Amino acid sequence: MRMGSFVGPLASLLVGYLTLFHLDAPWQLSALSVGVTAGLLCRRLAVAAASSLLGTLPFVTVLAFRISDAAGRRLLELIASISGLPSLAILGLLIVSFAGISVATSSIVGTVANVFSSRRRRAG
Amino acid sequence: MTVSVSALVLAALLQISVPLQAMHPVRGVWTEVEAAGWKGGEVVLEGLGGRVTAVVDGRGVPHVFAEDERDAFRVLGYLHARERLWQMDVQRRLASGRLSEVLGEAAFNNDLLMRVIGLHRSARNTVSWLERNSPEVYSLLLAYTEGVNAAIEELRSTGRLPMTFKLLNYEPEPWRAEDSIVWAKYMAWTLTGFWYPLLLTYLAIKLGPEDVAELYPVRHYYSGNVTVVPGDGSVGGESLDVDPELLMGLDWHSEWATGIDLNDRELADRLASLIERVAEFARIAPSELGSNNWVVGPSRSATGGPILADDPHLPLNLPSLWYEVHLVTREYNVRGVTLPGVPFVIIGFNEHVAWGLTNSQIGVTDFYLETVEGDRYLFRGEWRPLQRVEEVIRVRGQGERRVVVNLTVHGPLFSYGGLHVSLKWTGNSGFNDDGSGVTREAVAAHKLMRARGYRDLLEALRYWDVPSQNWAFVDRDGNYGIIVPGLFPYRVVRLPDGREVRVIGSRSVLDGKGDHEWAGFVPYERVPKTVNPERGYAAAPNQLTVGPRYPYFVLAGWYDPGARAQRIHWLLESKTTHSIEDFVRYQCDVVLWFARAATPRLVSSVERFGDLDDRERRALDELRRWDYSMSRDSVAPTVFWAWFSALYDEAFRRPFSERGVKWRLYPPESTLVYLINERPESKWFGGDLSVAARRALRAAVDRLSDALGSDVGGWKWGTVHRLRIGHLSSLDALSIGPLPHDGSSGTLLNAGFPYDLKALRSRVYVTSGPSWRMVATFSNGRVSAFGVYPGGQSESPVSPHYSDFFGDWYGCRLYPLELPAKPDEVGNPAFTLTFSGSRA
Repeated sequence: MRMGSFVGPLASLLVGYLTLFHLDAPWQLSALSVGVTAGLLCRRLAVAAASSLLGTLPFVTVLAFRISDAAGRRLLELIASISGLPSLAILGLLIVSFAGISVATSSIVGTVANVFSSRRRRAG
Repeated sequence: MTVSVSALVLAALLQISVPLQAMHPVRGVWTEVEAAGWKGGEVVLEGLGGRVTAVVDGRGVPHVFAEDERDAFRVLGYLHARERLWQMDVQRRLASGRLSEVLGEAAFNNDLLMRVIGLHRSARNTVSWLERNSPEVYSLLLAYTEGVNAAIEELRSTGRLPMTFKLLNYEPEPWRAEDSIVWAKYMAWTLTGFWYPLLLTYLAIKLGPEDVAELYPVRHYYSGNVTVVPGDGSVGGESLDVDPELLMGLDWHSEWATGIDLNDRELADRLASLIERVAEFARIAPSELGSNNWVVGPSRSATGGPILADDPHLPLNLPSLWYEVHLVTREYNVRGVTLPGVPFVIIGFNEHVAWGLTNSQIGVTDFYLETVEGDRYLFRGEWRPLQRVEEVIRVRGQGERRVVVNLTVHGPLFSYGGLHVSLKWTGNSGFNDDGSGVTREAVAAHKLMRARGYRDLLEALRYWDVPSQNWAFVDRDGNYGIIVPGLFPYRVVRLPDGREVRVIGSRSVLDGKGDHEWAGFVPYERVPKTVNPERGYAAAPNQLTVGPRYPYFVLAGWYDPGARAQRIHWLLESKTTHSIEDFVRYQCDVVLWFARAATPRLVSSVERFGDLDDRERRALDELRRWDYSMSRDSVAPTVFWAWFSALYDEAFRRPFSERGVKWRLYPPESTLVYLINERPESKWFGGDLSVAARRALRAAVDRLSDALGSDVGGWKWGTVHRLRIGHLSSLDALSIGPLPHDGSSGTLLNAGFPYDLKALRSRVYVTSGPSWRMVATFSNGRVSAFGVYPGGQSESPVSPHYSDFFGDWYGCRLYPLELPAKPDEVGNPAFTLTFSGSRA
């Protein structure tokens, strides 16, 4: 396997972790960063998408940790009753949103990057 | 996936996820769990003079041990903010008219009203005054402020701001000393910002002064025998030298009394329109608030020492209005409840004296009809420029709005239809009556915490300006009593016969050109008080304060109609001695004096009718068997409430509506009871109580059947009378209830509920009541005290202390409130916080 096959997923995972824990910004920005990283580093769109999903792992892991105790679950229930949605729907929406944003971003960035690199190759 | 499809998906997901912004798994609402799981440790608080220990007990109550008083206040600020920061922020915004900055358009009207009233202006001036004149109290306020700000910084820097900030997507600004004062001012405004002179003017215009005098008498019917201060009202040999009966019989809406001729119909109609406008703007509604307190002396006490009971009836919210605390410094060992945001124990006790408050209800607001021309107004023969204050209100998502508030010498101006009425309130006029709004409650509260007996307490209360309160106390030497401190403005009024009398308050809008001005405040030596009264007890559940010979004629006493006063006097007279347990039982007593006074006559008035149906006969049977307890499991309270409500409508709806009264400004219960018993032939009953009561019974039974079914046995009071303790955000998920609830507006267990049958089909709940119950006694020189409030110490809904007191409050159980002098004497400790000025 080529080196690039490791770099993309690992970088996405790292960016997912760093932006989530060390960037004082909305989590959507973290998802966008994961997508951009995967899109830029992975030439094949399928790999980019898989890398994005890997970059979602820190987000999902922290969420799982949050609801692992009773107080966290109570909080989730409160948020659910405030929003009028079931708790699972809230969790699902969060995870699907993060993963969706990062995959969609990686797709856009990857496609654009591929267009540029093929033009450069043609020009070269 | 093409780029365009991906872009669409991305845009949709970003939009969908915006409401979930606060769910950031690291810094979002989840940090609430960490913040609520507070387990003690070391806290560095810059500015501390020495180490401070706070032992937090199993109920989440901090016991703060500090050498220096300033250190204790600094730690108190930190603790308030750690447990109640969002509440404190919302409260200061509410009071200073800045809610719409975070809540948007929905809060704009409230902000506008608050900017007009101008509590923030008075608070600013009060802080400046304290800085110049009371450096000690000012330094305590500053220490408290710095403690609050240390907690804000800690919570912000660790990403642990309370979840409500995150849900609303904003962060708190630093705390300022005036934020503490503005909240105290707001409490004072809600307790004494009486609009009654405006409303009575309106009713006098619509109904005529004779009807107003009958329905809303200067003194409530049945109130004379249960005054706060026993006796005829004379003070130190001085008494009113005009026949009080004559004064009460005068028409106080007449031109001689007000300078305004309400017989000028054009003027009167315009004034009524202005009042309607102001009432809508200010959302004036009849208040269900009140409070109980009473004391007995050693001769009537089973503990051998005096006993005090106090329960202020205020809006019940989550987080609660109160935060319990125990402070030990070189100067004092004090325990009780504080208002989050305000660094003083308001109701509580120390080793020497215990105190509890109720609202005195004496009128301290006047309204003046101003003569305005352009940007000036006429006062004492000269045209003066209106003071114009520009207020900038920022509305979230909509930018800034600039409003100009006009002020006269009396206060802020309300204008409509070419008329201008100003509001003069002691909280804004200030203790020098200079319009600065400087008041000295902080000085009084500070002295109070240091009091070493009732004489110190009386001396401290010399500085208690607004809101005037019935201050019940007991001390370790066996003294007990009630004093009513506060600024009571009086005017010198020339009667139609030429005599002059000093009058407190007004029942009508006054002419503002200078002939109806405040002449001064009642000197502190003359404020009502009773110390160690001969009868062995005193009680002040918001009823008439003094007897008729008080040297200042109280024209504006917006007193409770008196059912609670009648009941507690009856209970205190019913036994020779009373115990702590008795006092707790009395606080939760649900016998309704009005029901006892009105039901027999009502029942007998309809018995002669042969057309009563089964439901009506069963309803009457329930009333005949009734002990007048408003118990949630009983049917009779529901029948009484519905019948009384229907009788209100029967008596007043049509005449009020025909004469253009826009709102349900029905007279107090004491008036209806009086009419039932003493004036059954009254015009309000169409000349015959029986006929009116018969119609009302049918209406009540029909409405109850519609709402609850035709089985009378199912009409339990608790199905109608339900308690809801709402979160400040109104979110149901963070609130308690609705739950079936005992009591009513007129029972000692106060549970405010309107006499209005509309409550059957709309979601009307009990939302006010005993916000803190306390009973304290001194026995053999030692204090024993008990207390509870409906909520918990923390505002975090995931904290075990969010609402853990509620069950005991609902069941009328009080917690022992101990007064340990050392950290290791604290009972049931949960964890310890150690505060130091710098890292070791």
